[in-house]
Amino acid sequence: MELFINAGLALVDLVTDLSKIARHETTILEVKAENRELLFREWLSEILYQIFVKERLFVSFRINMLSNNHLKATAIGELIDYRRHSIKRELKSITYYKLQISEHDGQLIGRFVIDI
Amino acid sequence: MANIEVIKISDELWEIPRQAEMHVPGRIFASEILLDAIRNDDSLRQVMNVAFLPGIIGYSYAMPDIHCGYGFPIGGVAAMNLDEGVISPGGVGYDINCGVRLIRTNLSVKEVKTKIKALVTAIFHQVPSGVGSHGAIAKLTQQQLRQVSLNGARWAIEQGYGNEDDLEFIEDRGMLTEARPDCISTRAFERGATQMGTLGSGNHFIEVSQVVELFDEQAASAMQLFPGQIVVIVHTGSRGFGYQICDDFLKTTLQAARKYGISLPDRQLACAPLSSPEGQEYLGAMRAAANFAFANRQVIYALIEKALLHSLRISPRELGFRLVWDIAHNIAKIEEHQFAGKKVRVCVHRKGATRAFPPNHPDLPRIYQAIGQPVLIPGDMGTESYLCVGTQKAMEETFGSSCHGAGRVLSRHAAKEKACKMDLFAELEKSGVFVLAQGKETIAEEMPFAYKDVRQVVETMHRAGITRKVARFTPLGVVKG
Repeated sequence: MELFINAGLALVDLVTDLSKIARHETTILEVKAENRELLFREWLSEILYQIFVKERLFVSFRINMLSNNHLKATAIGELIDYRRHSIKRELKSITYYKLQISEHDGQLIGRFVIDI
Repeated sequence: MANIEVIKISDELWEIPRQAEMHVPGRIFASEILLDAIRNDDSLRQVMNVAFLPGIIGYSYAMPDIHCGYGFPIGGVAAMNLDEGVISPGGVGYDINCGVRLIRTNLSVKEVKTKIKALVTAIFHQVPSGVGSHGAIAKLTQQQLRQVSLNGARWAIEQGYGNEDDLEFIEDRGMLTEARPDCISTRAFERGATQMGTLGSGNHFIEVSQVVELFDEQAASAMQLFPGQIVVIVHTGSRGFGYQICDDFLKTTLQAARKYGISLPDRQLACAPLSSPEGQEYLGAMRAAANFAFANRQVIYALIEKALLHSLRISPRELGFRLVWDIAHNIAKIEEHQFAGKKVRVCVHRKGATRAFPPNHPDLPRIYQAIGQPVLIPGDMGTESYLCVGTQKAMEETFGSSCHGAGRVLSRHAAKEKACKMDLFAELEKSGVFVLAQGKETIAEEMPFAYKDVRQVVETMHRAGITRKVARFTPLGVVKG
């Protein structure tokens, strides 16, 4: 769970300053995929979609359900306000290139490459 | 760093011998110096991986601006046989029909040298750029986006952006036929809805440049270019519409590859047989995104003309704003070529590579029949850009393809680290380039030191006989997203 939450926050951090995001609203996110790695990519793709299409920024995530191919979460944040939020860059997509979840010293490490 | 065996064929051409599951050898156009730079990333491995794809014919090609991409290298060309071959969304890229448009004017640098800042500022305010920038035209409905998908640049002209004559100077007259809006997801329509007529961010730009050198007077004259002339270069693509279509079809083709028993050396090379429903659907959706990009560049073109007219307070006749050429450099196309002594129809993937058709090719407009297709090769924003033309040798050796830019040598992250202590805007202004950008991050990532020397890239293809140099431009002002 922690891996998915931290990767999600890392993605938002690439786009804007996390400390400037208020906790005004919650959004339910749900993704499905064939395996855990692809689920990881789908999760990040969903956040990217929420940012660049729905114009929502998230400051925290709560995972409600997680299996190898299904994830339900609650995302907390607010709508983008271009006067307050500085958007650093546009992200095109989460690629499949070098996508990996590995285990090291009992910790899960997720790697994803973004096209910008 | 790739330790891959590369054999010298000539001073500008190198070969990776066929090995393992490669169907064809790899061929790299590069000088020795460029090859050393190319070895610094994974791009040669990616050239080999592309050669694994079913139905590839000739070679897995790399242009001299090659650098590491996702799956396919950027600067890669692969032609697939229509019967056994595949089509790969990764072989086109996320920014479907990312491309370049060159526009000539009647202005000379002498006349506007003192007005460059005003001109660039006018363009910056007229053309939406950067993240969250919404179109100069209202949010499009799904029905309108379907029309864009089918009609490309013509759609933009029908909305009042430019003239019918412009179509003559756009690859494929700004519209790929057999586009399939029915194969596009709701999410892609959503992502494209507010982005028509926007530049975007990343490496996209609008550049006001001057013609500093002509190498081929006849070709330059056909394109109405003269020394000291002001030209405008636009680099953008299909925006979120294309990114989402690529993303959707990577998923589809990953499943298709498994279904059709295609083993992939890299998931990002996901593909489907060209003859399969999945392959045909991607081809149709990709064409729709390509048409969005043609329309987007057409809208931006008209917005720039408006900005210049307003800023200079001159008539359209005095400005003489006219399209020289609009070219795609992320695309897959079904084309007819000669291969092994026979005429064949193939699907040519050009990922960070441009078409470079020779004189007398039926797909060229009448006025370029004698000179060959214009090939636009923008460098980085601090140095120079080139205009070349395609040759018969390109048809014989690269399925009518050439390079598309300088090609990165530093990753965006490395470039940013190097730039962190510099006053980037001042550095560029010192070299005579006035830059306006929505974000400093983009400037840092796109600084000249992040790129190869475009002169070496262009010179390699000129010496190899694939393209011929026509003109060289240097930038005076740049708008970045």
